[in-house]
Amino acid sequence: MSAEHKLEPEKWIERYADALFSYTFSRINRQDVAEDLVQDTFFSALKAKDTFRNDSSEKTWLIAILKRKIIDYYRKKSTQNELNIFDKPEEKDGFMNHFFDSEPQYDGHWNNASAPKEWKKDFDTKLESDEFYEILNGCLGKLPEKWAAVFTLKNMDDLDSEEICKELGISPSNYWVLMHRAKLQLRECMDVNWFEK
Amino acid sequence: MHLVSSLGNGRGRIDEMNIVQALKMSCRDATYLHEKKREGKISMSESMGLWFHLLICKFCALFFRQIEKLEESSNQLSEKQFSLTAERKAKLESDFKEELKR
Repeated sequence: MSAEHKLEPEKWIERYADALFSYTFSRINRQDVAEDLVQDTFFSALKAKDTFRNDSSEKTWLIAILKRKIIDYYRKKSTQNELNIFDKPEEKDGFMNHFFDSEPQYDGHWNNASAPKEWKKDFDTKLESDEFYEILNGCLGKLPEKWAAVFTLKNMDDLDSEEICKELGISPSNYWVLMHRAKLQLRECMDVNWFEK
Repeated sequence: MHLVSSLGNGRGRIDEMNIVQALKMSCRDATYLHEKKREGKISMSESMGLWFHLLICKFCALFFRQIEKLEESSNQLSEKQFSLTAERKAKLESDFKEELKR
């Protein structure tokens, strides 16, 4: 495949660095990690430029490489230990007990402090400010990587649970638990940092 | 529930137990089932229990509504633009130029 077929590496950084960074940073809210993944993508792409087929645009091709890198990053972030703990139905551990009562007579009921309350601010996905999205991004960034991974792959990349389990190498029961915890923590973080402010 | 047990066979008893279990669903379990419900991976008895739980538990009903809003906004977040710092971009530019020469 010759270079005339639209790969112009000398223009990549200028053309795509911000797009690739946006793609990464909206999913992984860690500046240094996102920067490294973007850099890594350009260098890998250069090495693999002979595999480029002109049925996709240069940008699409670069994003595809970046997607693989993001998945690999998530995969490496899970210790087997963490996954073993979660490989069964929801446990009463410190995390869950923060949200739900563990006393036998109220077992599994919301704790008063953690129970959802009506949001004090009006909410409209389409009308929310940049500040709202920064806070949302920040709250996603505070989730443990694997929790953020299941949540973003589902809600930003529109993968289904089977695809996500396969990509991340986790079992379905892991998936439900990670997703549950991601939602609990994300909702609370948004409450504290946005809706209650 | 009375009706079910009055069928007087073994199956009736099992169904009755499922119903009792379903009615005792905790908020911990109900919120856990949100994702399963979204993906249509929920069993009949889970679905029944959840339906009933959401009817009587305003906290979980609110949790479901709020989470769905946050999911929508997360989808929007993927369209947002962020920029590399000028410094980092310049460094990337020069490192990459070096690589291109090799």
